Amino acid sequence: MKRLFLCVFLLFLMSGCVEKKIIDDISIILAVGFDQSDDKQMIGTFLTDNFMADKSITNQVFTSKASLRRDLVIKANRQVSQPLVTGGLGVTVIGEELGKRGIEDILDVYQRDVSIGARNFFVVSEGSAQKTLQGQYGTEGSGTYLYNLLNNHIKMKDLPETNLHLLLHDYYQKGKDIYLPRLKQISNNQVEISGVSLFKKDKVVDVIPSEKMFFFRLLVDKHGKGNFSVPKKRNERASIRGFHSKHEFKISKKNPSEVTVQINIKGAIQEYTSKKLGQKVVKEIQKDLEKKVESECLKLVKNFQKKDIDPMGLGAFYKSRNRGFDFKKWEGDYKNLNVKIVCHVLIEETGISR
Amino acid sequence: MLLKNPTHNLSNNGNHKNNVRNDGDESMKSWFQNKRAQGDTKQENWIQTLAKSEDLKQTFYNNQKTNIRFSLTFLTTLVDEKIIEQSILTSLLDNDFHSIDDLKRIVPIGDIQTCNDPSKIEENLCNGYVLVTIETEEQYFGFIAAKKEIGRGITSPEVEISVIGPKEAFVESIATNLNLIRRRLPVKELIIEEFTIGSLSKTKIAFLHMEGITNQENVNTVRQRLKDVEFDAVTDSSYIVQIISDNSNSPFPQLLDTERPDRVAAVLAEGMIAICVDGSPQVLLTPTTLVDFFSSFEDYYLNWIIASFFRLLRVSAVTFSIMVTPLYVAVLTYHYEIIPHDLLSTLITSRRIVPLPPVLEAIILELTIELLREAGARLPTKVGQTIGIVGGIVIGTASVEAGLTSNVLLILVALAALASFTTPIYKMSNTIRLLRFPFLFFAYLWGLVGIVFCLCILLTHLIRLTSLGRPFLEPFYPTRWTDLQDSLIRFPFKERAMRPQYLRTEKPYRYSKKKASIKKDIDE
Amino acid sequence: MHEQTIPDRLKISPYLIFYAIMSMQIGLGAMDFQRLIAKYAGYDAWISILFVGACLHIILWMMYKIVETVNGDIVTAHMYVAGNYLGKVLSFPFILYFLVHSLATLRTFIEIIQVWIFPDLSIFWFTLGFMLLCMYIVFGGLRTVVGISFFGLVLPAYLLLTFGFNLPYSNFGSILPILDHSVKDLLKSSFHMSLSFIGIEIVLFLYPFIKEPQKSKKWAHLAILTTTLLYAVFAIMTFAYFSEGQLQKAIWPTLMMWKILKLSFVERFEFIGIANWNLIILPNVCFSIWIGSRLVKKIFNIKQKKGVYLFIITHMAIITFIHTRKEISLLNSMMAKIGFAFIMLYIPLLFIAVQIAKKVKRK
Repeated sequence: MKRLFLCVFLLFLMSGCVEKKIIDDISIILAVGFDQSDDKQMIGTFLTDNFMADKSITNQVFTSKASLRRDLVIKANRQVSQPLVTGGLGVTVIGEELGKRGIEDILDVYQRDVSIGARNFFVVSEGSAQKTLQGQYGTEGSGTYLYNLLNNHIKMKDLPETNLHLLLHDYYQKGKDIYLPRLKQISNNQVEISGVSLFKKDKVVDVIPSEKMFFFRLLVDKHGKGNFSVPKKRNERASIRGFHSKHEFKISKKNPSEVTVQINIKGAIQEYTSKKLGQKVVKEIQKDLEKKVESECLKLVKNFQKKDIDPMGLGAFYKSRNRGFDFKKWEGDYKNLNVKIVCHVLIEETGISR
Repeated sequence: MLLKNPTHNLSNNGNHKNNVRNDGDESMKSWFQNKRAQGDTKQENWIQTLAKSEDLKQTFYNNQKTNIRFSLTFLTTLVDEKIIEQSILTSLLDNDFHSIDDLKRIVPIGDIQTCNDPSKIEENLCNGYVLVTIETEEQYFGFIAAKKEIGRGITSPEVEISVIGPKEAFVESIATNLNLIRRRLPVKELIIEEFTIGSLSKTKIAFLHMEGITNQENVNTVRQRLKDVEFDAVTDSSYIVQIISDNSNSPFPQLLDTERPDRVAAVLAEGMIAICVDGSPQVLLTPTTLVDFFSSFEDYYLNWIIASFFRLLRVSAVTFSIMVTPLYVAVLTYHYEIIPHDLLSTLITSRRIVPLPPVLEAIILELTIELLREAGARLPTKVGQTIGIVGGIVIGTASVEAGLTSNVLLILVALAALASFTTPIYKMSNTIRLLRFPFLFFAYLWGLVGIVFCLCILLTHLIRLTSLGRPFLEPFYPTRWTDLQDSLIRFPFKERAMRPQYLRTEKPYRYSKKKASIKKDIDE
Repeated sequence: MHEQTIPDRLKISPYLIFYAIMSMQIGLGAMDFQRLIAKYAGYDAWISILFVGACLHIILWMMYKIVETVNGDIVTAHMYVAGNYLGKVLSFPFILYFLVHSLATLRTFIEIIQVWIFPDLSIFWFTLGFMLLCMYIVFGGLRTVVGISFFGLVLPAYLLLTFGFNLPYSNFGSILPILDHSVKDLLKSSFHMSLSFIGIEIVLFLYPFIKEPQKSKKWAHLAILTTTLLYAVFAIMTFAYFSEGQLQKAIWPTLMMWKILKLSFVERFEFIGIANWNLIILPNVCFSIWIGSRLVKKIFNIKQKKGVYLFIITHMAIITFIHTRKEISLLNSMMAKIGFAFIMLYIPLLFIAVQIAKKVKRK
C-alpha cells in the first residue's frame, strides 16, 4: 500500500512537466505569408482567427520583420496576447518578389518543422503576400476561405494537385521542377486563382495564365477530373463535364530521344449552345478537342524546353526507365528531346436530353 | 397441572384462543438453572445469553391422556405460531404421549429430530425448531421444525431486465432459488453441495455444479475456498465475491452475480459453477471472463445477428464511455493540431468564457454526474427519478450558461454516462465508471500518450487477472477461436457445438457436431 | 549442470512465439529503416530486406538446433560448450546487450515524443513511469509479458490500414528500374536493415518456456516471413510516396507518412500514431528486462525480482545522460552493429561449437 501511495505521489510530481496548449489560450496560425523586404530581411505575415462570442469569426493579422524564418514567429509573438502556434497552418503565401529570389530557405524550414501538416497549400501571390492576407474574404475567416478555395479548385476544377508533401516530393526529386498556383487579390474581399507559377529549382521563372491551366494539368497530373468548354466555330460552344483524364509517357523504342505523351480524356457533354447535338456533332467536338489539346500542350512543352524547366518530371521518368542514368547528360538532352502529344477523347454520353 | 385457559397469547390477533400458557420468567429461570446444574458447564454461557432475549418462550403443558408434563421452548420470532397451535400442540395434547420418541408418531410434521446432545439446542432453536422436553427424560430432546417462512414471492428481475425470455428472478430464500435452478436442470448430474459459513450469521451456502461436465479441479478450488472463508457475518453473496476472488485488489469483479435463474441454468450446463447464498437474491457464477460481463442473457434469446449487433454496440459504448472525456481533455489541452478546421470554431467558442482548464472542467462534470447517480440510487425510486431529471437539466444548463463548463463537454459527459449504463452487469458498470478517472489523470499528464499509457496499465492488469486461476481476458488472450465465437459476436447455436474451452470441461462437446454440420444440397 | 524445470502452468502456448518474435522485431527500427537502407541501395533496398529475411530463416533454424541440442536456453548452450564457469562468463555480455537494447528503444521513443508532441517532456519522469509499468508487467511473469506483446501487435495493427491513405499520393513507378545498384550497395543496405530485424534472438531465451517447442518452429518461421514481407511492402510504399532526396531529409519516414492522413474527425493523424507507438515498443522493453533479469538470475544465482530492480535502476541512471540526437543515433547504430554481430556472426559460431561439442561428448 505504501508503495502505491508513493507511486501516486510521484505521478503527481510529474504533472506540469509538459507545456500545455489549451485551445482557447493559443492563437492558431491559419495562413502565413512571406515577403522579401528591401534589405536582406523578410517580412512574415501571420493570419489568425478570432472567434467571437456570437460565433462569428474575425481575422487578425500580425506582421514581423527578421532575417531568419524562425525569428519571424518569435517576433510576431510579441504582438499577441496568446502565443502563436503553427500546428493548424493551412495556407502559405509566397510574395511575388520572394518567389523570384528563391524559396529554398522556406522549404527547408517546412521540411524540418514537424508541426506543419503535409496538406498545407503553397501559393504564390501576385503582389505582396502581406496584402493578400490582409484582405477580408468570406464569413468563415480568411484563412479557412483561402484553404477551401484551393482545396475545392484542386478537387473539382483545373488546378493541378498541390500540397506541401507533393511540393517537397518534387523539389527533392531529381529531374522534376516544382510549380505553384498563383493567387491574385482583386479587391479587399475578393481573391482568385490566376494561374500557375513555374519554378526552376526554387525560383519563379514563368507563369501559366488561367486559360492554359487546363492543358497544363493534363500534362502534369496523372489523373484529373473537371470541366472544360470547347470553343467551336462561330458562337457555338460545348461544355464537357465530369471528364476523367489520364496521361502516360512512352519512350519510343527506336529513338530514345523521342517521348510520346499519351492523354486520354473521357467525358460527357453538359451544355451545347447550338440547336442540335447529333452523333456527327459529337464526333466533331471530339476531334476539335483532340486537336486543341494536342496543339496547346505541345506549345507548353516547347516553352518548358526553351526555359529549361521540367514540371512534367520527364527527367525522373527517364531515370526510372534507364539503369545508371546520368543527370548531367540529361540536362543537355532535355532541350533536344522530341516530345509528341497524342490525345484521345471519348465522349460517353450527351446528357439525358436528345 | 392441567392448563385450560390461555394466560398468554402468542399470536397478535387476540381473539384466537389457544391453550398455551407462559409460566413466567420465574419458572423459566428455574428450569434453566436446573438444567445448568445438571448439564455441561460449557453450555452455561449461551443459555444465559439466550435467556436475555425476550423472544425466547418456554411453556409447560400436561398431556390430556397420559397426563405427562412436557415443555415447548422456541424463539417466537422464528417459529410459525400457526404450526404450533394447529399441528404441534393439538397432537401433543390429545394423543398418547409417553416419551420423546413418540413425537415422530404423533406429530404430523416431517422434520422431527431427537437427540441427547444439549449442544444441539442452541443451533436448532436458532433455526426455528421447537424444543420439546418431558419431565421424565431430562437429557433427551425432541426438535420439531416450525420455521416461519417469511420472504417475498418470486418477482421479475430488477437489474438484469429482459424484454423477452423468462421473467423470474431469484429471491432471498435459498430453498426457492435452488428450486428455480433445479426445475431448469432436472437431472441427477446437477450436484448441490451445502455449507454453513459465518461464525455469527450461520449463512447457508449451496454450491452447484454438473457432474461429468464441470472441471473437477475448479470444483475443488471453489469448495476449498468456500470452506476457508472465515468471516463472522455473511449477509449477502457480495461478501463471498470479495472474499474468494483471486485478486481482491482489483476493481474488476471476478465472479459474475446474476439474478436470473435461466442464466444460471444455462451456464451450469456449460460447465461453470454456481454459488447460492441464503438471504441473497444474487447467485454467483465462476470462473468468468471479461466478455461474460458484457453479455446480457437476452442475447441468447435473440437471433444471432441482432444479438451480435447489440453486443458490439455495448462494447463500443463502454469504450466510448471510458475514453471520451479523457480524449477531450487530451486533445483540448495538448493536441489542438488534430482538431478539424470546422470543429475548431465550435470548440473554441464553447470554451471561450470557461475559466477552468479542460481537466478540471471534465472532473467537475464527471463528478456531478456521479453525484446525480448516487443521489438517485439512494433516494426512494420516485424522488430519485425526479432528482435525476431535474438535476441533470437544471445543473447542466445552468453551468453552461454560467460559463463554468462548455456545452460540448456537457454533451460528451452525458453521453458517456448513458453509455456506461448499457453494461448488463451492475458491478461491471460501476467499474467502468471508475475507470475513466485514472484515464483522465493520465490524459492531463501526457495527452494522448498518457491515454495509451493508461491503456497499457489497464491491459496489464487484465492480463494478470485470473478467475479461479483461469485467464480473465480469454478468449482474446490466450486466443481461443471457439470461444471467440461467443464473445463480441455471438455465433448461431448451430456453430456452437463446443462448451467454452477456458472452463476445461470434462465433456467438451454439447452435442454431436457431426449431426449439426450436415450440409444439404439445393432441393434435397 | 542442474537445469531447473519450468512448471507447465508458467509455459506459453507454441503459437505465442509468433507474437513474441514479431513484436520484438517491430519497434526499434520500424520508424526510420527506410531512410537508412535507401541511403545505400536507393530504391532497390527492398531487395535487401527480402535477402535479410531469407538469411534469418537459416539463423532461426540454427537457433532451434542449438537450443534443441542442449535442451535449454543460451546459458545452457554456453555451459554445454565451455563448461560451467566459462559458460556463465560467456553469457554475461548478453545482459548488457539487452540493457542497451531496451535503453535504445525507450530513448528513441522519448526522442520522437519530444520532437513531435512535447518538446519539454521530462526524460526522467517518463522513464520512471514507463519502468514502473514494465515492472508491473515483468512481475506478472512471462505469461504477462507475452500477453503484452500479443496486444502490442494486435491492437495497433489497424495502423497498417492508415497507410492506405498514402496510396493516392504514391507513384510506384519510382522504384523502377529494379537492380540499379551494385551487389555491394545491396549488401550494405542489408547490414543497415539488421536493426529492424533484431528480435529473433529471443528464441534462444524463451525456448525452455515453450509448451511444445517442436510446434513453435513453424510459428517462428511464419513470424519472420510476416515481418519480412511487412517490411518489404512497407518499404515499397514508402519509396513510392517519397522521392529519394526527400526521404533522406526525413528523420522518421514512417511518421512523415502519417502527415498526409486526414479523416473527417482527425485533422492530423501522426499524434494518434505516436501515442499508439507506446503500445508497440512496450513489449520490446519488457522482453529485454525479462530476459536480462532472467540472465542475471541464472548467472549470479539471485532472485529475478532483484534483477528487475537492477535493470530499472540502471535505466534510470543512464537514460538521463543521453541528451542529443547525435547520441541517440550513435546508440542506435551501436545497437545495430552489436545486433548484427550477435545474430549473423555469433549464432552461426555457437551453432558450430555446439555441433562439435555434441560430437565430442558422444564419443
